[in-house]
Amino acid sequence: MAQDVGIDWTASYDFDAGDFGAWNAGIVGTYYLHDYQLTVVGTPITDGFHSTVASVAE
Amino acid sequence: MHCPASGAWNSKVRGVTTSTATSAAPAIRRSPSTECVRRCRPHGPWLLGDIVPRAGLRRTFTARQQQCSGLEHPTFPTTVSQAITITCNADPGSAATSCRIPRLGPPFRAPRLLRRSSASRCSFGDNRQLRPFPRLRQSIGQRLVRRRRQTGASAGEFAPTAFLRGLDIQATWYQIKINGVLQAFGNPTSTPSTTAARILLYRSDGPVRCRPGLQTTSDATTCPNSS
Repeated sequence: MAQDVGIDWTASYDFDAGDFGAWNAGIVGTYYLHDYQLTVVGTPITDGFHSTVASVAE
Repeated sequence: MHCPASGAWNSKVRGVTTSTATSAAPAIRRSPSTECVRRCRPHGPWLLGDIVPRAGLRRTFTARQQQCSGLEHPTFPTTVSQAITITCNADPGSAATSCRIPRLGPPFRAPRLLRRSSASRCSFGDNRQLRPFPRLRQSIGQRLVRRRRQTGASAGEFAPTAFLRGLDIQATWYQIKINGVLQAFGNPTSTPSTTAARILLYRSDGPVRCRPGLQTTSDATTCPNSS
């Protein structure tokens, strides 16, 4: 089982520049909230975005 | 010489046809030769000389008599002295072997479209016959389930008109839930897929087999680790 939860967002602004036309400026993005994974039935569900992983030796 | 008198039989004597269906004696001269003819009559039509053999027809009768004997019992080999051996062994690793020795995980019915294939049909001498449609098998020991996805979303938009006209802000909250995800594809290495555990899914009627000469087991569940 896999479950992804997030928010897609967008913000834009339209303005009229007269003889220079109509303009639009915007930005889009996705904010990921959770990435649940259940690999084996009976084991806890893990969240890939909220899990503490082992430190990586440099 | 004894011949069973029962049963219908016909005989021609000098162009006259006599027919009887009882045990009454026919109107022909009874002799050992006639008895033989009566015994052999059901096997086919006979000539006049066959019924009443005379000097000039003796050769024909003798030939017929030998043929008759061959058809009935004496000289014709009715028992097979040579043993005929028919084996049902299949080449290790071939599709026939996978049909005779189903291994590599539990089977389940394939979709109707796949079942239309007539490539594989295994018959056995004792009326055993495997199902004529191909079956999918998985080698990871777990039941393969259908992958299902559930998606939910909720969105909102804000576009003020009293100030900052032209501003538009949208946000969509989503949730995607997927069940039956295939994620264990074995352990990819530089060596080819040589063991059954690394073969994820195959159709049992396909040519899934090791390379010729590389089988290590008769049921072809494993192959040697060589390319």
